[in-house]
Amino acid sequence: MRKSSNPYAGNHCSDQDHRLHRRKFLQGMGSGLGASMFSWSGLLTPSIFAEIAKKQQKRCILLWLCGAPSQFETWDPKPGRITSGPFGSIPTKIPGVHFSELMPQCATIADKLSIVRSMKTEPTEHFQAIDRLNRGDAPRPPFTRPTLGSVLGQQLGQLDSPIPNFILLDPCPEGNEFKSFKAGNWAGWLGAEYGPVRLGGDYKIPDVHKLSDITTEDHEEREALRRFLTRKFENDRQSAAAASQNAAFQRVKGLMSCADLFDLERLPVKDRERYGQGTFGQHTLLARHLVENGAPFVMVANGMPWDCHVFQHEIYQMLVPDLDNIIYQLVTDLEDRGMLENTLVVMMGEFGRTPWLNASRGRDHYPNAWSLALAGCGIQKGAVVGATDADGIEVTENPFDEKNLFATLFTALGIDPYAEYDLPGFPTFHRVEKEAEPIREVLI
Amino acid sequence: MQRVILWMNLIGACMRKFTLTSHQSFRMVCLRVGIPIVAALCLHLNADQTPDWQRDIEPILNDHCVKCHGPLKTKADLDLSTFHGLIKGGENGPIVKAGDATSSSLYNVLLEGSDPHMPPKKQVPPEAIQKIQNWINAFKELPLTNEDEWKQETAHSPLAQVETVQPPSGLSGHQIIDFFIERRLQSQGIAPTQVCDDRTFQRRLFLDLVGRPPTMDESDYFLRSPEIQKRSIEVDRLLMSEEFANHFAELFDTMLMERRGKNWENRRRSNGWHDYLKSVFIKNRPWDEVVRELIVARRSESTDPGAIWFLYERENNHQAMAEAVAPVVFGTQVKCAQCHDHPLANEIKQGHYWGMVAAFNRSKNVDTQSGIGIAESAIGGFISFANLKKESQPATLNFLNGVKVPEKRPEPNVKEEDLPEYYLLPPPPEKAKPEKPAIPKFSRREKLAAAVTENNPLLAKSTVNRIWALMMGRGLVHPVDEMNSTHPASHPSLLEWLAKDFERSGYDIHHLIRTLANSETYQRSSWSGPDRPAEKDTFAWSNEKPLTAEVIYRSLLVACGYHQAENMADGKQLDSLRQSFIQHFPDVLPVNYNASLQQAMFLSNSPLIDALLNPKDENTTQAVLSKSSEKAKVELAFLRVYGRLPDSEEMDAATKFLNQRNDRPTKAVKQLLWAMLTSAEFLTNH
Repeated sequence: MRKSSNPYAGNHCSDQDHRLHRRKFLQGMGSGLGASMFSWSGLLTPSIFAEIAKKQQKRCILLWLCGAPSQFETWDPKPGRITSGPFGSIPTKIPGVHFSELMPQCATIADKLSIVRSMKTEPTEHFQAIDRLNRGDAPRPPFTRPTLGSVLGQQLGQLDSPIPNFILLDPCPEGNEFKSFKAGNWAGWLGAEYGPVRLGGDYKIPDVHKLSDITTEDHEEREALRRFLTRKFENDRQSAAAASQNAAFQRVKGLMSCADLFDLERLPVKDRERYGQGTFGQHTLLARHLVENGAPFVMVANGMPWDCHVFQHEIYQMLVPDLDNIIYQLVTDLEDRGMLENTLVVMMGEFGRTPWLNASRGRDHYPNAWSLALAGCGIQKGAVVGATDADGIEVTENPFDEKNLFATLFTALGIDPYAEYDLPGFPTFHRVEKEAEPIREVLI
Repeated sequence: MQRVILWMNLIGACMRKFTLTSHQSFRMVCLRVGIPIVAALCLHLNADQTPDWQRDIEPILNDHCVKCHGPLKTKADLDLSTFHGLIKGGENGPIVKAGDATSSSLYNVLLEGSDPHMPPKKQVPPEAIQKIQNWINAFKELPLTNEDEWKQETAHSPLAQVETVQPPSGLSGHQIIDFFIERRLQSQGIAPTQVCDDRTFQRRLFLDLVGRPPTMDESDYFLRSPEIQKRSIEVDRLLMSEEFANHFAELFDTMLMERRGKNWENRRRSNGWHDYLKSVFIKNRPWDEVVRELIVARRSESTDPGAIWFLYERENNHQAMAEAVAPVVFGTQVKCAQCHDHPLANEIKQGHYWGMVAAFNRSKNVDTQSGIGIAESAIGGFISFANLKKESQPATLNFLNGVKVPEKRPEPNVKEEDLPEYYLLPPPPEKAKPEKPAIPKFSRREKLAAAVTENNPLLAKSTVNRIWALMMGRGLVHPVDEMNSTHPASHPSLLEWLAKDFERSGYDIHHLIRTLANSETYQRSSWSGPDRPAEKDTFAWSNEKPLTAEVIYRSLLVACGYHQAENMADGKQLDSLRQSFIQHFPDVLPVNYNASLQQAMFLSNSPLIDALLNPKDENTTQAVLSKSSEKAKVELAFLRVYGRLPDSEEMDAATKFLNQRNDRPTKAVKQLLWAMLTSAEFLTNH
């Protein structure tokens, strides 16, 4: 890292940029210090804060398998049954538990994952299901519940953070119903500032790089002059607009200092090869890199590739092994870096697929009994929860829905799942309604 | 003597808080509010110290209690949304003991550490608890309340007859504005700022009326004019300009239709919507006629076909039509009444929402030989709606301003027949392309249009309030789309007077703007110094108004010396600059202004903005560069961008900035201009 007094010069965010909010710090330190009233500023210097932050900050990566993968070819094979299709199953690190044979690498780290095999949700169409699994509840117009990323960005992030609190890595401009969902309101009643910053492929942060013909020093001094003029205006007129604008420009400075973090080209070739050349893999690597550098929530998606109504088996021979490798790389990387404990990894789609094949040798939408996987922060290692019957038609034990799932995710991250939103003029809303139980079996 | 004055004050306060209608008897005043008054008198409190139900207590309960103890959820059978409900108490009996807060559970449950504690897991702030304590203690005896009377009485609806103060006779319109504003300032002990200087006035007026600052020539001309009446002459001149019509068309396009991106903008343009709005403001069409045209949405000899687009763009979505019309004609959003009566503004009923939907639900977009249109059927559209308790009732033509249009409903299970005699212009035989859209003899759209444009005081009030907000930086009712009983006006008598004046003028928008712009209130300095209170609703100084997208775009062109757009070689680039501003600055009259990261990043690093700063021909960068001294450069830059000269502090900072860049003078000037163009002084109207 280059040495410079200039905050623009380095490739990475300075320690200052990672300074924690007091609230966050309290969360990180646990309840022991929670009630203290003494001043922090004299006690700890910002750099110590930053170190603690790096170790303790909780984060989340959502591998959003949009279109909905089949549970039979992934986490819940039914060996020997007709519903299982042409692929066999293989034993995993957990005695007695089999994954699809398309997932050999994940089988070797099954003892680091938790599998939920008894998801049972309502919507049968993509848009409604994507909405349900991203917001954790049924719609109640005209109110719009924030998505998981917006809630976690708000809860785990800091408003003045240089790195966006909610990053959506999705290079695909299309994606059928997911495209419509993406065009909608992610942040809901939390407000637009909690929406995602979309990156990946052609999606770059617009205007994040300074103009080519201005030097870093000039860029900075030009901004200092703008600030001087705006501050003067603010003081003379008690201008709230001026204060708000200065705050926004301050954030620009932060984000520009981190711009290089988003550049895949800067990551080691070796790492890039390990994750495979597909965009989903590359973006999962980028997600790892971003959470390592302080991003609280990254969602990785790639349009809606998992909706295989036609020739599913042929397509799955490519899709599933690729996903198998990506999950393996991500989980082991996080563990090697000592980050798995504080990083929650969620691997899911919006529903499952039918046990029976349709006329085009594909599987159709099936919300009645499906699977997902979790790992990392707050999650048991090697738990397999819930079960479906021999043909995977119905859930036979512990059915869970999106509310249970969201209660689980919040609990795993140390966030009160039932906190009430304080929204003047709104009905009473909670992070998770009806005190839905978390999936206790997967929680530490 | 003192007691008498006190008594008068209190009666005045009561009139305000209960907005009594004339038919309500004084007996009711005594019954419901007289007792606390007497109690207050005995305690020798004056009106300001005795908490007032509507002003002080109701908002606290609305914020903290009504979610669970209100009309939607009524836990413990306790409804704290009305005075009646509070006095009545819940399943455990009364919650208020007159004169004794410490024996009243309403007070006790709020205290920190109390058990039971309300609201659960939260703490009402101590000031609020204090108010409730004082309020309870001021009662000598609990007033008797009757639910029905109370319901009627507490509709503090904008429709209720307000006991208004009349302005002194002999004042002209703009002086009447100042009279009402200063009257309240005096009562609050706030001193207004002075009237601003000519430069400030001209910039403010230009930005408000034509959506750009004056050019150097316009500025010189105005400043030099010896005419005493030059400010009002300037107002009249701008109102007559095409730029005014264009700017207001843009504002109303966004407020009536919302921004939906470039494709929709193009469709609006090609279907005559923009031209229609422009013609409304250039011809100064009476606003009630305009509203009528938007709702009736039919081609006629006198109607510009562009008016049809207002409903047509909503593509047969009748709820969207109702939701778009309500703020225009009643001044309030009604969306929440889709599922239930408004929980706080109890004059807004679910039936009003669905009544308005019914007014549109016989309408259908059609393509006719004479172009697009909206046909209306003579039958059908008899819908029912269900409240949260799943009780169903029929939607009738029943509107928020109290107008009920009688309509014969068919017997259940009787199929209506669609007969040509029901129509002035019948629909065509099946599948044929109609010559013109069908018009029934009994047209629901016409009925709604009549109900909201004839004898509807809310139309004038909402329009006046919206234009006031555009000019003064905040509505008399704020937010502008919430003109209902939960959002009382800051100056009720002024709002009432302005609305009446607007009606008397024949809904004349130019007249309204002229009246506002000529007032001292509009012309006050925004330079208040550091001690000013945070409230924006005093209008003691000019409130800042963040510029909208199109205004920033045009202001940037003017400031950079590109007022005549043809100076720019590349028109396409100009349009993408304009689109970028619209994308980054979408708001018009936001409830709360917040600058965003994306805006700041765009202003910092967009090559489109940078391109305007490259020296070229006679543009600002070139003109500043051509000055020989640093001082002259800075002066010209300030005049071009801010329309004023720098003070000594600014002069020092800016000359130092230029001097440090002696080796790169062009870049130095570009950077100086950039810092000014992206500063708050340039990006707000003040």
